[in-house]
Amino acid sequence: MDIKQNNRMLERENAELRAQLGTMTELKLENERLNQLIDFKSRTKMQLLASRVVGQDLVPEHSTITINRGTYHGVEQGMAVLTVGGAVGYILQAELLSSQVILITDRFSAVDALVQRTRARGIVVGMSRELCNLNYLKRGDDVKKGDMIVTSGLDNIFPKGFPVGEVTEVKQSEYGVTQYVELKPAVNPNNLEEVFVVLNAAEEEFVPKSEEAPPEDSKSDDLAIKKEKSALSQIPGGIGVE
Amino acid sequence: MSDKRLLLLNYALFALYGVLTVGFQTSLWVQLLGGFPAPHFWIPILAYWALYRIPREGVLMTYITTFIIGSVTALPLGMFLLINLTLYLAAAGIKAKFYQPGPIFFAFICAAMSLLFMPIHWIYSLVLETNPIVDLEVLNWIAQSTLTPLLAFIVYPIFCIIDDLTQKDLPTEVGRQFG
Repeated sequence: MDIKQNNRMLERENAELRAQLGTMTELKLENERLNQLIDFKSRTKMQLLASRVVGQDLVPEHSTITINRGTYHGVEQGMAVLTVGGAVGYILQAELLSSQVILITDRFSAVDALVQRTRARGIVVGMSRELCNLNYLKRGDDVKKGDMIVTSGLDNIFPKGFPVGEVTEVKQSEYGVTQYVELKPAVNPNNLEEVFVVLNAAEEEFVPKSEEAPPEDSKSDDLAIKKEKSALSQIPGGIGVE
Repeated sequence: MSDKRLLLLNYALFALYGVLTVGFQTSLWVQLLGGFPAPHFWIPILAYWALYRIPREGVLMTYITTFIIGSVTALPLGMFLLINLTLYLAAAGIKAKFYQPGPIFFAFICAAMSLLFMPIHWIYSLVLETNPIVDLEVLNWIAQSTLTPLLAFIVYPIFCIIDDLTQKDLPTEVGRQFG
């Protein structure tokens, strides 16, 4: 009898501990996400409002989310919504205590953007739940698979240089003035839990790390010049280049 | 209570059902079940009013429902109204041809309306929008069309209770037992 009772008690205890473990894991993950958000907020000059995703669109053909911040908290229509990883969308409609955010993957959204590498400009529009298009990119513009697309800042919604997505496909038809560019958003807008509303971009400009340090090409150019200089200086009667 | 007040209460209770269930679909459902497709919670209202009300009342309720729940979607209000009215007409058309009393027929109408929702939306999008739908959520469509008739069986008695409370004539059929 005792063994049976003990077994039942241990099973119950095990179930309770498992439930606690699940809650703790969830809390740990949330803590990590929030730490990332706090870290991002402390590093930027932008005035950001943290908010939680509380809902999604009624119709699956439209990509919008609802956040728990509204006009009462200073949210206005057209404000940018982003997260640490990249642009999420912008405020479509602001109510008193909640707001509807149109995601960059919605076919009604439009975000002015640049190809980070070549600065070619286009408009990012939504295509499906997980993909976007970069429209109006001229046929001659240099873009290739793997290029990062960033916000241009010209729409006065997003800060300049913030990641939007990565090019996954480029197609050029035989005729036409533009090219077809497909991109995968930098953040998966369907798995969001916490986001930031940009109350004031404060002319924030995100400089990619690759631009902060001299590019690889210029490094190799410098090396070539140094080698040339030393070679010239070794030539008897040669030109002493300083 | 006067007849007018009872009628208004009837409209208000159905509208309240719409608000509560659509609120549930767009917020709590996501928190509980994540990305798993939700049934079309508002479609049973349209189906019920298409089956058990005169056309004038049914069309009015379609307008009310659309205006109430239109704020929780990026779908333009005009388009949403057009889709809902088309669904209402389709339900009224099926009713005119093959009406059967009981919750099973109600669930069948809900299934048909749910099944028609996406093709109608897609066709209107192709015809009326400059950037039409290109990527159809087929799996979502199948799941929603399957779940909506199941939901219909749950809400049918609730609708009968609302009609009973507001002294509206209950549907004269087997389903009356639920009221």
